[in-house]
Amino acid sequence: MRAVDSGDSVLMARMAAGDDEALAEVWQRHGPLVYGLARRLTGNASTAEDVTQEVFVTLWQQPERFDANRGSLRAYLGVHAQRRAVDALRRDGRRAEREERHHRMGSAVGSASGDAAEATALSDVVRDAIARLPGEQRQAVELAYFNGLTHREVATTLGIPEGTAKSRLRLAQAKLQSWLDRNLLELV
Amino acid sequence: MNAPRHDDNPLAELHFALAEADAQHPPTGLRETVLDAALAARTAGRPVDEPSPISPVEGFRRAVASFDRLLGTLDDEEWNRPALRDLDVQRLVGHLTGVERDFLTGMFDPDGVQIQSDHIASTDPIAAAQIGRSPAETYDQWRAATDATIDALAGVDTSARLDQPASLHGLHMSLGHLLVARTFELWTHEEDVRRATRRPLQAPDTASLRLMTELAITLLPVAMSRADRPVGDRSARIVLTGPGGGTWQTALGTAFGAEPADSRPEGPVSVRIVVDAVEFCRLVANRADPEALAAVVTGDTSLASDLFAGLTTLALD
Repeated sequence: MRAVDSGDSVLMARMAAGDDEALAEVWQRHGPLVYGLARRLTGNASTAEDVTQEVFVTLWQQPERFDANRGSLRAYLGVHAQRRAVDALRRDGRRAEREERHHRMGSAVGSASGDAAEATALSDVVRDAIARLPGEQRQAVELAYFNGLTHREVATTLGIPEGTAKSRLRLAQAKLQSWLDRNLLELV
Repeated sequence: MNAPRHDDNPLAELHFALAEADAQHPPTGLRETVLDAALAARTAGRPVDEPSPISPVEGFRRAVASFDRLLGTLDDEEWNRPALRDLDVQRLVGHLTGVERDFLTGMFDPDGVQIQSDHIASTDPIAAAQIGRSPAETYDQWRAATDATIDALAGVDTSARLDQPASLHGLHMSLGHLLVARTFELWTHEEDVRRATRRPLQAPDTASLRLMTELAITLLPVAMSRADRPVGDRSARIVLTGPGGGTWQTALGTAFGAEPADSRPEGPVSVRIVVDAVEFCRLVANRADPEALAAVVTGDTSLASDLFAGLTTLALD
């Protein structure tokens, strides 16, 4: 038999075929990111759990909506986590200001540019910005961005603790925010 | 894991790559809560775009109609193209006429005593008889034979008759399963003609394909036994992707019949195989090279190779 890529598109094809083990694998790989994003954006553990559940249940019910040609599964889940978190905030009227801020951010990050030339130009800008990062931070970002690794995988690949991997990504994030469009990259 | 594409929205990709810094271990119990909620919303094992089921009789009718449409597009020269073994398209259609006549006999002869057990030897005379005939005569003869089968199947769709035993060329199974095997055969020979006449290959409609994949999975233990592959108590989890697919888990050495994946049989799975449903059917039809099959295999790869080799023995040809 011929070995084939077992990346995002195969995972989602398995889900479409009813393979619940694929769902468990996606949870194992991206559950911490979805929950972490939801926790950070909503500021509430219980709401974050609800958001996380909604994201994964919807993914299992409608796996065919993911298109590997348009981006990674991580970004797809991240966009959905962000939108669900915004919806949760919207349901809580006391958080109107926070909602508005995240709504703007969610819209900007979640929508594809639709313009290939613009996307290519942005790609170049991102590459240039990453290249300017200090060595250790650049290594971590390159693994996460270009290779699609999770924070755990970045840590394993670099032989460093998970906390150190996160710190390097966070430091890189602060620098990239100052170099790129702040609204698109900020998380809080 | 391949690198993801960032063509559409590189900033979003960077945004969520950096968001890995915010990843947190979910609270204890959330994994089970989420997975349980997901499986309550959609059952495991079933494809997301599962077609409305059709009866084996309807699957057979559709396969006949599809083959008929293809034959209607062939010119005289194409009827003479080499198609399979030493048969040209015309003699291949003659072979199918022979199969049709034997099938009609086998429907009422569950012990298979009235027809030869060899699929090819039994139909060779009628295939050879096409030499010197016009394609129209060959077509008319095949169409009359299939019409006779379809007439004999009238009223069978919903009856218990589908569960009754039938036989064909050494195969002994229920009439329903035999009809799906015939659907498989007609589609396979339709693809033989398409290859011979340089037409694009065409998957069966999704509902028919689902019948075919279910039958092939059900026959896995038979395939392993036919191929004389010892499997002991090993089991396989098969994920067939794309239209007509699904997920099954089956013990390979025991009785005939796979379990749907949501039934979660006990014991570890020996091998997990992910492959496109149509390619899987081509393998079962012995029209795909097991060595070239694009499959994701984890676990006992040698068992997977045995399984693929065993599946090719199910083909009638």
